[in-house]
Amino acid sequence: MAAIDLPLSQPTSRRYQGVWDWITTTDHKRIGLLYLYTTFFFFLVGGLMALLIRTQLAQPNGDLLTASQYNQLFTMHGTTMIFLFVVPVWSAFGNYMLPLMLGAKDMAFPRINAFAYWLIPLGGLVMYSGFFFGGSAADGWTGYVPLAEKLYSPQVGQDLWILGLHIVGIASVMGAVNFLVTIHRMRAPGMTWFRLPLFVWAMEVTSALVLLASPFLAAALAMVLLDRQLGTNFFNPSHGGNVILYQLIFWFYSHPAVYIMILPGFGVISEILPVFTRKPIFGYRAMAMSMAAIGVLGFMVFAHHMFTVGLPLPVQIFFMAATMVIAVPTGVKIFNWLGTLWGGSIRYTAAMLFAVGFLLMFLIGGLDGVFLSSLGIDYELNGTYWVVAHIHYVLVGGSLFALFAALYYWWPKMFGRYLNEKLGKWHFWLLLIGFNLTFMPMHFLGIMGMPRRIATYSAASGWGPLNLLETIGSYVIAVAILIFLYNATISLHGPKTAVNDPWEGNTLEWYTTSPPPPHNFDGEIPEVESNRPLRDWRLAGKEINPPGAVLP
Amino acid sequence: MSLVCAVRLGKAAIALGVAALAVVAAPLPVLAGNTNFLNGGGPPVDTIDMLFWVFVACASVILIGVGGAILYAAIRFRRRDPDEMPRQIHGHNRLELAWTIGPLVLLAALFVLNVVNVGYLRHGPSPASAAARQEIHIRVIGRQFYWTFDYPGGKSSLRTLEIPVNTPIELSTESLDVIHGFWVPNLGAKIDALPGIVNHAFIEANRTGTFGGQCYEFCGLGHDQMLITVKVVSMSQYQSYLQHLPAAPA
Repeated sequence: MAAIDLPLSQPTSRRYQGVWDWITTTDHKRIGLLYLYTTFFFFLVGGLMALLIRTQLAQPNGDLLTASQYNQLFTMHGTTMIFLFVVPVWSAFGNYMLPLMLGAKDMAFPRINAFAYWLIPLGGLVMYSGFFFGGSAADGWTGYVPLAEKLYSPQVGQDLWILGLHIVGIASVMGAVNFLVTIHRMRAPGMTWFRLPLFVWAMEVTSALVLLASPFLAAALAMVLLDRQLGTNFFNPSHGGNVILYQLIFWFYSHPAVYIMILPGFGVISEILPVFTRKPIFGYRAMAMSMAAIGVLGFMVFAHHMFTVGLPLPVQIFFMAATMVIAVPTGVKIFNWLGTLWGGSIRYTAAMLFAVGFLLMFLIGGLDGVFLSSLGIDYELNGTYWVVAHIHYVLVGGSLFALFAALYYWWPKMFGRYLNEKLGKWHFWLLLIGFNLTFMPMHFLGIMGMPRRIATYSAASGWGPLNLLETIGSYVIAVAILIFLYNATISLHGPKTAVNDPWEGNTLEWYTTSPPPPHNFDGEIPEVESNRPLRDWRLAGKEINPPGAVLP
Repeated sequence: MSLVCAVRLGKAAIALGVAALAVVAAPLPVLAGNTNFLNGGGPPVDTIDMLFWVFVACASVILIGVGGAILYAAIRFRRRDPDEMPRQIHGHNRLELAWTIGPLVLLAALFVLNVVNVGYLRHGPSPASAAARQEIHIRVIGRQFYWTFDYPGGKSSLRTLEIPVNTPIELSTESLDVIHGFWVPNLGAKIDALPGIVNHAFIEANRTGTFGGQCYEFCGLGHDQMLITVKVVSMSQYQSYLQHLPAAPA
């Protein structure tokens, strides 16, 4: 066997200027910022779609949109928010913060990291391009067959949607491998598993879920694409295909995906609460292990999305049991967060407000989910607005509140500037009010029998008043987001006054400058001796902030 | 936080929860519409309503108890002095155990309550009691974008289903194109109508009148138009209705 000559040359270290510098960067911090800008852009696009949807539904017999436009909008709203916003936005914080929290100089594979990022805007572009070729995908973010087959959805937008999801899925898997290797191989001296920041634990479990689950989404979508383009019959009943097969494979990814979207949020909250209560997280090990338990159980509950499909009863009962069991580790987390608040010394920055808001909203999202785990109740509420309420309490009340908590918390580190705390509080209260106005009434609409995904409804249904309330709420949310955008803009144009450690942090990202230098840390990182190394060093009298620092 | 303190909090939570339940739950059944399953309509929905109210009771206690405790802590433990340093409590193993086992026991009870009822909801009354009454089989066919109903004796109706009161109706659902969902909230559990697979469901009404429903599984452009009207009439009216119906197309 001939020896193979491997090229030994180093990657070029040439620095580019301006835009090229950003395009060619492999610095995890810049990639993190690129993720943040990109996903936030998609969040605004998805939000505008939501406003159109809510305006259409404000009154019975709404005629702002045609059914075709409505179907495209709710499909792309869900797809955008899930695959282009909530899933990849955690890569923004994962990329920026995870190496810093570990005391590492970069991610394990910087170039793969850059590649993974650039696939996200590409995937989004491919999905959206359907709008210019006879209409985007219009079968819901779930893309059930046979509706998504060529016979019923002939538009090329459906194919582009599948291709876009494939591209985004590849990005997720590459990112997950990168996070896992970084966490396993690049920890600071003394940072054992039970001294890891809980956000790192969250990224560990999340990345494992991404790695194990994403191939199933790819498989389901590939089968649909083959059916559409090459005439296979995976899902064509008249040729022996089975329409349930798609749902089983799809949900085998898409239920774990819910945890992919919320676990990093759990991690963020577990970072923020100890800092602003001046207490250690209550039950650190229980917090880490409950996330691992959620990760494992997350794979065993997927068929609870399919209780009305007609699966055999013993199968349904198994998935009801597993779904109820997964509420236990989730409950453990809520109780431990409560334990962290209890007896603390709570300082209400905007970040902390969002964290406490998260606790309350996520509690509601957990409880209304338990209703859906009950087979009997799900036979009524499945497919209704109750489900829409539930996913939004989890993904908005949960993930989005955690995301804003993370933004206010880490903003000084990422940008070297402070966000205005007063505007931050306005942002919080308006979002809290708008969010509940929009999504709380959806529980009642579900009980009143309003199915999700209908383009309009009659006045006789009696659903009009609550829908109007929801639409008003959605505009309040829009105002809250505008306030945030204003806050971000004035902050980014303000002076760079942020110090190394503005909040009395516990973890290593506060041990360096704001923003950190390209190689992250000047000098060696001392031995880590607990899960709050920075607090240890601060109490030992080590100077973290330069003298005369300006605190927010 | 000691165990005694936790127990006392728990009791307070239950008391608050019961009070809140009355306030929160009172308006639910009168939320209007003939598609509100909490208004009942027949034995299967009465069973589901029972399950729902049990869940509402449990969820209210937890929401008020845990949510109240979060709010209390969030307000009570605000920082009053910039230099204060709270006691550094790292955890409490017995509490961890309590809030793992406690919810598990509650969920196990809710699980059992579901399991004993779910066979009836899905398959209808057990064979013995069904034989005592007359059971009627109706074939439900969904297609883009309307429903048809095939009755015994080769009769068929479009969009409107007419059934006799106090009689278990066995439905078999199927679709001729994409997946649809058959749901009449006040009469029984919803069920998908699938292409290539026949599903079975069961509805029963205990009062006459008109009940609404519609397709709940997104099926394309006309999804919102796939309405279902169910007229519940006396057995004799049902018989004469059947006689006047046209025969199902072959």
